[in-house]
Amino acid sequence: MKLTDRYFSRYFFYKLAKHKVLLIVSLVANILALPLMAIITSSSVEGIYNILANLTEEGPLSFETRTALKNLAGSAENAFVICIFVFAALTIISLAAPTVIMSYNSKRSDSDMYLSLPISTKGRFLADSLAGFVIAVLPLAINFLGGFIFIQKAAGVLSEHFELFNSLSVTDLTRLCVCNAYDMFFFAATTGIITVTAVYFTSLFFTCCTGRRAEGIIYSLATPLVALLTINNLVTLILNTTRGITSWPELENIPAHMPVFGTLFAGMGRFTKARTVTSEMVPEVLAFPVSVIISAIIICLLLLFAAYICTKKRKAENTGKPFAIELIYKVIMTLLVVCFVGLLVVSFRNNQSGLAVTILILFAIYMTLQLFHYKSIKKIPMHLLHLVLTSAIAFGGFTLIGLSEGFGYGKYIPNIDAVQSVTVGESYTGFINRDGLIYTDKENIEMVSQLHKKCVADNIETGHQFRITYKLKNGTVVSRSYIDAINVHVDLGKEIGNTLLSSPATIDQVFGGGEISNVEGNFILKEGLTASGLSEEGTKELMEAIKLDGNAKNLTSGKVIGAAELFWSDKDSYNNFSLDITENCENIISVLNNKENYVYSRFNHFYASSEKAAEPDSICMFIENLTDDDFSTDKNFYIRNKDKENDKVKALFELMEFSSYMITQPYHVAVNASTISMCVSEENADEAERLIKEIEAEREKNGDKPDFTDCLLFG
Amino acid sequence: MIKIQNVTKKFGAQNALDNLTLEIEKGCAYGLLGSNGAGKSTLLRLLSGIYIQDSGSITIDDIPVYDNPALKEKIFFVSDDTAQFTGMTLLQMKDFVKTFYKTYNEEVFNSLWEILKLPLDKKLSDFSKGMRRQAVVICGLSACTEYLLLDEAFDGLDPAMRYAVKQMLVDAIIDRGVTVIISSHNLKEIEEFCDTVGLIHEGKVIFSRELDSVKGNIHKVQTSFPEEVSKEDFADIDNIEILSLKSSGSVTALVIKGSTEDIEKAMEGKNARFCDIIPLSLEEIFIYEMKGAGYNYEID
Repeated sequence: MKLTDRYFSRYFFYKLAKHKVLLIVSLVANILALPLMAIITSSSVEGIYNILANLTEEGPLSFETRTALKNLAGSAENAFVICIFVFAALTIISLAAPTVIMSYNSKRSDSDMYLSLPISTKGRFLADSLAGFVIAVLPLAINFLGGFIFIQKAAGVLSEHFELFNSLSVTDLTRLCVCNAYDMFFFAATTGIITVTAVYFTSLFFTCCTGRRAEGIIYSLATPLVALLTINNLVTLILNTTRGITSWPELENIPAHMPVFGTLFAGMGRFTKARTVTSEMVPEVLAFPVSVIISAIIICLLLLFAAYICTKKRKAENTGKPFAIELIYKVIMTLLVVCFVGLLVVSFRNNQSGLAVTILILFAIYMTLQLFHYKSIKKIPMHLLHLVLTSAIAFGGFTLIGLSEGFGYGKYIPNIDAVQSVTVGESYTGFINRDGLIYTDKENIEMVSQLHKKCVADNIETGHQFRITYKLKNGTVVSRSYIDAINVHVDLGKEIGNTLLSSPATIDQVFGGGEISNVEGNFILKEGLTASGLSEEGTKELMEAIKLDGNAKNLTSGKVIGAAELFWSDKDSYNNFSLDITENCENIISVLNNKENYVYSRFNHFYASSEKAAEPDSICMFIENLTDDDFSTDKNFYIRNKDKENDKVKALFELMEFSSYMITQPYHVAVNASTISMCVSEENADEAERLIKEIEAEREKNGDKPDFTDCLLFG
Repeated sequence: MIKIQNVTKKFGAQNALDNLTLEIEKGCAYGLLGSNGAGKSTLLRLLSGIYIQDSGSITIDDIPVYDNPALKEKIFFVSDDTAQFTGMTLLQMKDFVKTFYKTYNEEVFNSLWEILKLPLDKKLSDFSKGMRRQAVVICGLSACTEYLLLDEAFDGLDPAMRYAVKQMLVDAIIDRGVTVIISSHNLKEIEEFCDTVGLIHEGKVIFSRELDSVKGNIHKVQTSFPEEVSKEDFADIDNIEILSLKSSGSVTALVIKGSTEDIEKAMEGKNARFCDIIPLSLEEIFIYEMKGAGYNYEID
C-alpha cells in the first residue's frame, strides 16, 4: 500500500461502519465474556471474604455457612462457564468476520462494487484484514484489560483458603474460580484471545483463497483438523506410540506449535479440560504455553502473508467458484488422502479394526468433495488416479517412517558419556517443579537413562507429564517426554525411580533452595496414624529431617512403613513432592510422631475453630477395588485413633503396602484424596476384604458407626 | 484516450476476449454492441480494473488501469447487477460514492434527484429494478468521473425514464466532457445516444466506428432486374459487398455495404430498372454484421 493510497483510511472506516452490527455484537459479547465475568467473580469472592472474616462459630462449619460459601463459589464458576460460552460465540464471529467483510471474494455483485473502487489491492486487503481484526479480536483485548481492572479485587484474596474449598465438596473448577480467580481469568482470557486470533487468521486465509462463503468457513474448520491429524499420524509413527493425540515436546511439539492448525481444537480442549478434570487441577491447565503463543503469532503472520498473496493472485472472475486459488484445493485434497492413509498405517500397526471402514470413509469423502467441487462426473477417472497415486506414495512414506521410527528419532537415547547434565521435569512422579531436577553426576544420569530406556522399551505414551532433557557435551539438547512415567517408576520401583527421587541430589534440589512456606502435607505411618497440618516449626523440622535422611540414604534403605505427600510454595512456584518413608528414616519419623508439630489452620477442612492444637486421631480411607470398574463397591472406611488397638485393624495395616505412588493393586486406599496409597497385593486382597467386613460388622454390633466428623482427614 | 491492445481474457478454456484491439476517444459516447456472451461486460470490467487481462494492455491516457487507484478515481462503473446496493438506501449509496470519489458533486446529485425524485431513505431492495438502475446511474453521474462505464444501463427503465436518463448522460457529456461507454442490447437507445459504436463478437471487434460512418456504409436497396440475379453476380464489383439478397417476384431487396455512389453505379451496371436506396437502422446493421460474422440466424 502506498502512503498516497488516499482512500485506505476512508475504506477502512467505511467497512467498520458498514459492519457496525457485527462490531456491536462482538463488543457486547466481549463485555459479557470478560469484564462481566470479572465483576461477578470479584463480587462472589468479596462475599466469601466477608463470611470468613465475620465467622465466630467454633467447631465444624454450619450447614448454612457451608451452603452460603458454596453458593457464592457457584456464582463465580457460573460466570466462568458463561465466559467460556461467550468465547465460543466470539470464535464464531472471528470465523465469519473475514467472509463477511471480504464479501467481494464470494459475491459477484460485491466484487463489481469493491474491486472497481480507487484503492489498491494491497490497501483493500490490509484495510479489510484490519477491519476484521478490529471487529473480531480487538474488543477482546480491550475487554481483557477492562476485566483485569475488576478481577484485581479478587486477586490472591482467597488463595490461603484453598484447603477450605477443597473440603467443601465443590468441583476443582469452582474452587479455582474462587481461590485462583486472577490466574483463571488471565489464562482463560489469553487462551481465548489466542484461539480467536488464530481462528480469525485461518478464516482470513481461506476467505482469500476460496470463492464462496461456505467453502471459506468449511475449509477453515476442516483443513486444520486434517493437517493436525496428518502430523499426529506422523509423530505417532515416529515415536512408536500406540495411543494419544495430544502434544509433544520437540518433535512432539510440532502439532502443539501449529496452533493455527489446531488452536480452535486446542482451545476447546483447554476449556473442556477445565470443566472435567477433577483432581490436581491448576489454573495453568487453561493456558497455552508461551512457546505455543509465540508460534501462534508467527503462524498468524504467515497466514496473513499467504492470504495477501492469494488476494494478489486471485482473479475476480473466480468469485462464486468453490476455490479462487485452485492449487490450495488440490493441496487440501492431497492432505486429506495423506491423513487417511496415515490413519490406516497407524491402525494397521496397532492391529486395530476398522481398516475397511477407514478406506470406505476416505473414498466417500474424497469422491464427494471432488464431485461437489468440479460438478462433473467426467473427471472421475482423474480423481481415482490422484487418489490411488497419492495413497500409494503416502503409504510408502508412512510405512518407511513407521518402520524406521522416524529414522531412529523416536528411540534415540544419548550415550551417557556424552551427557553433561540431564533434567527431569514436569510432575515427575509427584514432584511438580517447572524447572525440573537437574542431575550432573554420572550415577544419576545413568539412572535417568535407565528410566528413559524403560519408557522406550515399554512403548510409553508420549506426552507432557514426565520430561527428560539431556544437555550433551557438544552443546546439543535432546528432549523427550512421556505420560505414563508413574507406572514406569513403579515398575522399576526402588531400583531406579525411587532411588533417584530419594537421592541426596534430588532432596537438595527440592528442599534446598528458597523460602518455603504454606506447607500442607499428608502423612501416614503404618505404626501410628498421623495427619496433615504441620506448624511452621514442624515444617522446618520436617524439611531438615528429610534432608538428613536423604543424605544418609535412609530414604532408600529399609522397609517402607509410610508415605508422605507434601505441598508447599516457594518464592515463585507451587510444589508437590511425594516420598516413601522407610523404617530407617528416624529423623522424619521422629518429626511426624511429635504431636507438638501439628497445628490446624483457622479454616482447615471443616473446622472453623482457630488455633486448635492438633491431635491426629483418625483417618478416613477411601477404598476402591481396582480389579473391577464397579464404583458402587468403593467406599469410605474410617479408622480412628482408638481403633489402633483393635487387632483386626492392626492386622489390616500389616497387609498394607505403602507407596507414595499409585500402584495398580486390587485395593487402593487413598488417604485425604492424595496420592498416598496403601495397597493390598492380590494374594492378600481376600484377607483384607474379610478384615474390613469384620471390623464393620463389629462396629455395627456395638453401635459404633463413625462418620467423617470423627476424622480430621476426609478423603 | 482509452487504448485496448491485443487483449486476451480467458475464463477457463473459453476465450472471452480474443486478442481484442480497440481505441475509444475521450469525450465520446461509445456504444458497445454484441450478442450475449460476446465479451461486452468482460471488456467493461477490464476497463474498470475489476478483471485483469491475461495478455495485452489496457491503458487510459497511456496509463495501465489495473490496480491503479489514481486512475480508477476517474472511472465509475455501473454494473448490470445492482444487487450489491440492495442493502443500502439512496442516501447511503450517495455517501458511499462521496467517500471514494473526490470528484463527487453534491449539486449534480441534487439536480439529478430533483428529476427522478427517488426515495432517499428507503432501501434499494424495496425499489423496482428500474428505480434501482436509476439510483445507481444518479450516483454514477454524481461521482463526476471522467469515464462512466455503464453495463446495460437502460435495462428495466420505462420509456420516460429511459429518456430522462439519456438526457442526463447527454448533459454530462456536453457539460463535463465525460466519456460514456455503454453496453446495451437496445440498439435503438444506442443509435439515439451514441456517436461511436463498436461491435464485438466472440471476443473480437467486428467494427468500431462513428455511428454516421457505420450507418452511411450499409444500405438497403430495393430494385428490379431484367433477369434473375444472385450474390455471385456482384462478386466482381469493387467497393461493394452484398450482405443479403432476396427476390420476391420481380422485386429484389439487397443489403449492400458500400457508398451510395458505388451502389448506384453497380445497379446501373446490372441494368436495374429502378433503384431505391433506404438507410438501415442500427439494429438492422447489427443483425447483418452479426450474420456476416457467422451468427446463425435468418431475418426477413
